[in-house]
Amino acid sequence: MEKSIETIWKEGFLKNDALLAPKLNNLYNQKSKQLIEKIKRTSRVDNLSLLPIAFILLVVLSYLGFILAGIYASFLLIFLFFLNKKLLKYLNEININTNNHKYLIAYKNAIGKIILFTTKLLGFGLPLAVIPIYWLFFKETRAYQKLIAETPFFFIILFVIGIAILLSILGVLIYKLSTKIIYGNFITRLDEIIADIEELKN
Amino acid sequence: MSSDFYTNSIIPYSGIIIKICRAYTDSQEDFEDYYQEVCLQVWRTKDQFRGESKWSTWIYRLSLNICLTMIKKKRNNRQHTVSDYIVPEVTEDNHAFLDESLNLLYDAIKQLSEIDRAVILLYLEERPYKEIGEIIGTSHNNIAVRITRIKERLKKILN
Repeated sequence: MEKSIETIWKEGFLKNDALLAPKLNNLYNQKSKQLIEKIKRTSRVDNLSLLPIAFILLVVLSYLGFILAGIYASFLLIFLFFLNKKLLKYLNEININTNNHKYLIAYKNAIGKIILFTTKLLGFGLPLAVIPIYWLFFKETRAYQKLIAETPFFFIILFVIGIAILLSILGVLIYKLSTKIIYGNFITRLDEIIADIEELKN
Repeated sequence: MSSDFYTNSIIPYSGIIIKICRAYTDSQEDFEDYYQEVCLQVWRTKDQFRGESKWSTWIYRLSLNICLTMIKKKRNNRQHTVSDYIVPEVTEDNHAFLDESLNLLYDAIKQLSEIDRAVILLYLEERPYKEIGEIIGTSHNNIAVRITRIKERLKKILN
């Protein structure tokens, strides 16, 4: 007589192997791997997106007649792309063979360092890099010629410093905002996993 | 997770978790992943347990919810890939029980919809219809009808 499904179920679980629980020593390994993979994927895409922007800037500015400004802006973005690539390589070099907790902390610290470095770069470097674009863009305009002719040199310097500070603040704010939008959830998740592992340890 | 909590509140109920996780996974790796996720969530949500139901019911409910969520996540991650159109390999060697009939039954259960899997697992675990209804979120009459239909389907698959 064929066994009913109820009997198969009951008898099957009487065998010793059926209810063998897996060990919990790999707790969070899979989750951590998935999260880190997501961060890596997102940062790769994020960085690659600089290339089409560089191309579009080059085309648009050249079309408007500002070829030099276009080349310069594209060069800056391509430079940023290679710089980011180098920074991302640094993330990949973190030793994955250490234990999960140490690896996640090292990864989080590395992300923190990259964010700090990029913030400083944008805060100080962006005005220095972008002001020449403005100059290339406006130097032939009548408004610029009038400003140079009629304004005392000291005020021009003040004006340029003002623009530099504004650019610096704007650059840092936009970077902070975009980092929060793109990486905010990942960083929160990373913090949660680290906190959980620490609580589990205790 | 303190070893006391694991020993007293999870180990005695690990059978429930194992039975449910097996029904929603196709490989040993996935099974271990789901099992660990359930254990973690049981530990994380332990303070939310108010004692209105049995601890075992809480574990059933949590295990099913987590397995359903993970299976959904996995499906979303694979969306638009060719593998979606390939019938998944049901049982790998390292994911099988010693009892062949039990393996066949699990293979059959895996062919059911996700909710039907939950219903039949709870039925086989001899949970009262009322409790199954509460966990699944439907009336116990509906559960009775559903169980009859699922059992017929399983018989057909097994034969």
